[in-house]
Amino acid sequence: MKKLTYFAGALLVCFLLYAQAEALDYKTDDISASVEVLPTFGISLDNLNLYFGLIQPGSTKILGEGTFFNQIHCRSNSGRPWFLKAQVVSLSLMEKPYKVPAGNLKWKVTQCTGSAQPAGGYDFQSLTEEPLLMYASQGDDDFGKDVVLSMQYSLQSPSDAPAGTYSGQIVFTMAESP
Amino acid sequence: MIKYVKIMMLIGLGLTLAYAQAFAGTSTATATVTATVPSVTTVSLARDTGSATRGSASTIIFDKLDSQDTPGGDAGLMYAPYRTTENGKNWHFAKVAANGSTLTLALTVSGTVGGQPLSNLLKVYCGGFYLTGSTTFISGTNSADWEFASGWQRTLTQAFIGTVPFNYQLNVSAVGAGSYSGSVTFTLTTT
Repeated sequence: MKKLTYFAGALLVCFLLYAQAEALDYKTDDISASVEVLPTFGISLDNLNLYFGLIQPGSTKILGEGTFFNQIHCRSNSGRPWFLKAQVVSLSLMEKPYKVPAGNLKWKVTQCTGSAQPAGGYDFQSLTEEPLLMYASQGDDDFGKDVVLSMQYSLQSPSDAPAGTYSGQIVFTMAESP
Repeated sequence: MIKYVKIMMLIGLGLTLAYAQAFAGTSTATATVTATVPSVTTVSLARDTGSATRGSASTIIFDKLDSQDTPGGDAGLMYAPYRTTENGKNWHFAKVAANGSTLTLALTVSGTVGGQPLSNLLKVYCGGFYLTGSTTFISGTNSADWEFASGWQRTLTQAFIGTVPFNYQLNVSAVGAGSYSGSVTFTLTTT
């Protein structure tokens, strides 16, 4: 009986040692994970129609007075600086050859979520027929941050503007070259 | 097998870097601008603020013979403003605003002076059509010499918003002393 007890005790010790060894035996596997972040580079406007309506000759009208008229969204994750520019493409009378000087059309940034200040600050700036710098990215702007510029626009009708309907375009360009 | 995968990953990374290097982004958005300018046709009279303060925009006052104002002047003529002591000034600025294809500014005269039609006696001198902000008048719109007010007119084939100065001359060579009145009407028409 005594021998049987010793044998059972020895068996228990062996089992415990085995269990201990089994617990220390763990496996490792290498898992490789990859993710591809696609390049993003783009500009969008939430309202593309700048309709000034009726303007008396010599008077000025502002779109978005008090708040803003539309918003320009710019986003790039290239890690490189980018630049936002604007230019007027011929604001002219549809019925006859008469063009409103580009400088009579102005833009103003009222709010900006970017890391930099808008070029020209928060005052009205005259547009030209050449691309004019509106914003130069900085810091987080180059790494995927959604930069939103809230805009107002003003149009002064020349005092000698012939009656009629005028139409033109403002082209906003976001580019990595200054 | 593992080695092969690692090589492939390195190649993939190289391609990504090359792609990013070549990617120089440009993006554009275009907004359309539209505005409507209404037709405008207005004419009003104002005094030349640099002129004498006598009278008002609604009156033309002849109260001094040219001979009383100008040494060697003509006793049969009267001027508003005076030819010498108010020289260089205008009596009226006609404020004209017309943005149609053409405009015509015309004067008509009514009344009699000493039994004669005022239209036979009153002349004007037009200084020309000055666009707002301009110091030169539109060529050919000024008077070369005194012109009869009655039937006077100018036509422009363009929009015009600006000022037209006028001076006046009254021929009293056959008019007796007394007080007379008549009227001059400015009419602006556009097409």
